[in-house]
Amino acid sequence: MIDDPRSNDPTMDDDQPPGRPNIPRVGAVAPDFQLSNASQQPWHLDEQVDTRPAILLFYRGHW
Amino acid sequence: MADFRDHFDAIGAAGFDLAAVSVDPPRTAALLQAELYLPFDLLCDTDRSVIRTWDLLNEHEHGGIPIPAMVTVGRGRTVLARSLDTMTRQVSPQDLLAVLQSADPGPPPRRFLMPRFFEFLRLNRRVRRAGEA
Repeated sequence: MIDDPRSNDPTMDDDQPPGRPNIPRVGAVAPDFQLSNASQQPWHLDEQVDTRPAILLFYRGHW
Repeated sequence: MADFRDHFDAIGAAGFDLAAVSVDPPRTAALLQAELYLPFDLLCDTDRSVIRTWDLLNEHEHGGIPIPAMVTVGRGRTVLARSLDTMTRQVSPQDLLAVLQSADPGPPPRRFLMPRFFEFLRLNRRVRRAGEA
């Protein structure tokens, strides 16, 4: 089943969810960061997206 | 995660990089990467600075974990697409790619994901623990 992408659910479109004004919106500039990966190698957002766009999945972590 | 693993080649062929962010330390992330054969980077926001800055911190579970979300970032760190998800409603890799490659991108549709039996039990246990805290 595919949801209607234009649903009124505020979490499904580009409206900011209540109480979360700083989640980067579509078209906005996302805050830069550098994190280590699982091999403890640095991963810098600004450098990564300079060559090609990056899909970032924010996940709950290992259960 | 497994769904994105299975579409990793298609995502790369479409011109996108893929990485996942959690608060897990590198050792735990490496374990998950090995268990699920994940070919993409797992990034370790152990001090929660990124999810706090990006306003994706759920403070009510495990000392703070990310709200499930998917953000596609292009050159200049411009956000190209965004989806704020739940445990059971998420954008599939196919739908995300279709939206990113369309001329008039809108918000990607989310599908209902039926949790597998043991995931359901674990989720139920976590919800009950969160309620007791």
